[in-house]
Amino acid sequence: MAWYKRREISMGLTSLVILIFLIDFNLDIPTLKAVTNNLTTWGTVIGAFAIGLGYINMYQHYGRKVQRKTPGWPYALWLVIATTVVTLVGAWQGRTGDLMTFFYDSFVGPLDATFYSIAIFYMASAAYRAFKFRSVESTILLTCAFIMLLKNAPIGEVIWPGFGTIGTWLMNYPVMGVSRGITLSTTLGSVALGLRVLLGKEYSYLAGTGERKE
Amino acid sequence: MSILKGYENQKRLVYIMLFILVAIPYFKPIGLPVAINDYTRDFYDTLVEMPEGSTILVHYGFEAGAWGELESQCVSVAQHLMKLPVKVIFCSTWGMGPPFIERTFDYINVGSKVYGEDYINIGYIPGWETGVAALANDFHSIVSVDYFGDSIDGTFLDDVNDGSDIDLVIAFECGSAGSGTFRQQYQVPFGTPVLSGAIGVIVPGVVPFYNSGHISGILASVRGGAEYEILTKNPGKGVVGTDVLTFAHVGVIIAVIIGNIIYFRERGK
Amino acid sequence: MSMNSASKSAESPYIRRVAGLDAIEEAIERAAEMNRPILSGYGLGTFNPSTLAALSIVGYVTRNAARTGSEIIVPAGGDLGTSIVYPQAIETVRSAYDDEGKLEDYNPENVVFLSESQFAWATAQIGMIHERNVGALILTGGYGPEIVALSEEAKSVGSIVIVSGGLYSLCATACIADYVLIGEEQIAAGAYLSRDPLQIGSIRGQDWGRLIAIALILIGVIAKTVGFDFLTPLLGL
Repeated sequence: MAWYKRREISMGLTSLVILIFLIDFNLDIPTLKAVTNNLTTWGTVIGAFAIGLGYINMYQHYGRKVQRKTPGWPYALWLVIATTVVTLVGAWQGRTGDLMTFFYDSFVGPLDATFYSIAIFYMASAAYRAFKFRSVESTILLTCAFIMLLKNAPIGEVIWPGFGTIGTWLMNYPVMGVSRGITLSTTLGSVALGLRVLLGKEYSYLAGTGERKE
Repeated sequence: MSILKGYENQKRLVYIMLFILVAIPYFKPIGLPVAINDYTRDFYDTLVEMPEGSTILVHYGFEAGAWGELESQCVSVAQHLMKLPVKVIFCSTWGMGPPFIERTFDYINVGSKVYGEDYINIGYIPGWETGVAALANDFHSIVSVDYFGDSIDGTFLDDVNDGSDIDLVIAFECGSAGSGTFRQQYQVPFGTPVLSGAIGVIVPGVVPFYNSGHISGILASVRGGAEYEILTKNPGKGVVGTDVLTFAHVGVIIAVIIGNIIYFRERGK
Repeated sequence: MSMNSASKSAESPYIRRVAGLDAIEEAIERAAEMNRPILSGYGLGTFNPSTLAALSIVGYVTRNAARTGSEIIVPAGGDLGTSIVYPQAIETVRSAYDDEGKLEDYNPENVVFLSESQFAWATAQIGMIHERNVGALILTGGYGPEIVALSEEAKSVGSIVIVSGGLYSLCATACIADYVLIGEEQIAAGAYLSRDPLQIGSIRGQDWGRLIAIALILIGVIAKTVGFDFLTPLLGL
């Protein structure tokens, strides 16, 4: 294996960058600040290039679907044509051009809003299935759900101000307690994960475990 | 009854009922009353109390899908900002955010404010949290032109170098690179207050930070936009949307009641 | 310190079972029996802790899938940040097949970048769930409201659904999914699934951190109640 492909090189680089940012966050060293600013900018630039990689893969994947005429290939063809046309128009007119604005306002905006709007139907069917008087816990869940639904509905507090009072209490005490507990745990977990990455003990994110089966 | 047999059929009936309930107030608005939440009032008070000449960073952290929920918030807050003696920087780390900044300006009256002197749209900031961090640490390293490609030299941004030059952040959000990111990159290191304009599902996650004082105010979904329109005496789409919101909530409640009735009927058999 | 003591001990430190992570093996076996593919996503965002953890889980799922001969689909996209993670996802999946000695079964077309638009990506996944008749849906990492739609659609085709609930979508996904990984259960997945004593020792270390936090909360509450608030200036809050 070439030396630059060794996992130790990747882990070492990761640990070095983590250390640089850690030291910069805690100490005020101007030289290090310049380094971290540069690294941050590099990260942004790499992200921009990575989008290109994603689109190349997308063209390959859907192009093959069209070539092999697999089921659903007309949609794949439409995707390839639409992506190509919008990319060319964007390159020609820029992001503020009339045609780009038309594409965005006529296609992207309404389609995104449509999918987002569908979420309420899924939430309703999830509530329909889950909120039942099945057990003590599910009854508590159902009662709290009713109160929160009526608290969040603008008319709820007008019908009975108690929905607002109880709902606010639920948000400020049990929900906040649980949220903070989950956030605290997740943060502790993230710190431990970061420590494992820094020490080179967590490497599954790199590529496999290296324990090849013979 | 066979139409009620099976979860898939019941699910379809729930969808039809919800569709009808939401369509009624959309085509025939009723004008139901709206109560003002404490966190909306704090959002409003924080803005009104900003000293003259303050620099406010407004972040559009959403894409087209969330515009339906956040439109009333964005338009009412942007209109209010144009009436306050403050300078405003509009930006977005979401690819689809900048067009909505421009769309906001289609709906508001900037009055005597001058582009480049009192407000500016710097458009898309690449890199998500990395981009926000770069913006907070060295503004001009990541921003050299505005959304239209014109240089920012000679604008009020000449006096903005890092997070300490920003007096308030308003983060309209529907997910990542929202108030949490600005809380970490601006509020914690520089003490800059952060306000959140969030979609409904995000609000429970933001409320704990409001209660702890890290977030100074929240606008919650369409209702938050409606409340802000009422506070700024500028009624718009938010107020209209609250009728739809009420009916949608009632629809979910009805679905739950029907589900329980069917459940007990089938359990009794 | 916990990691150190764990490395010196002969046995792996005790750690409670996490139903969601244990169910992954069951889900993969079920999908293999039904001869249906597995869809395992790593969510939105760049290299944050939940994405790192999600990549560990994707690697684990892929190794199990390779072992049982199941097909695995890893849909990438959803936002601009995931483009940075995408090359790593490709490498994770390829290496997982390689580790199992099944590199010939690796199909690069199954690690596909769908779209950088969140809802276009979600819609494409819904199409895949129905088109490929997915047998198991394992979604870890950061997700937005689309996770409700994905879970519901997967349930409608009879898939077993294991998702990680972020704070925002936890309530909705808990109503739909078969198993939910809450908060830290996902972050600790890499260590949990590896069964490496050193990594499990770090999870034990987190428990000590939690105990310290609980103790500080209790002391702070009592101190503030009696009017002797010494903790706030001490901790610089």
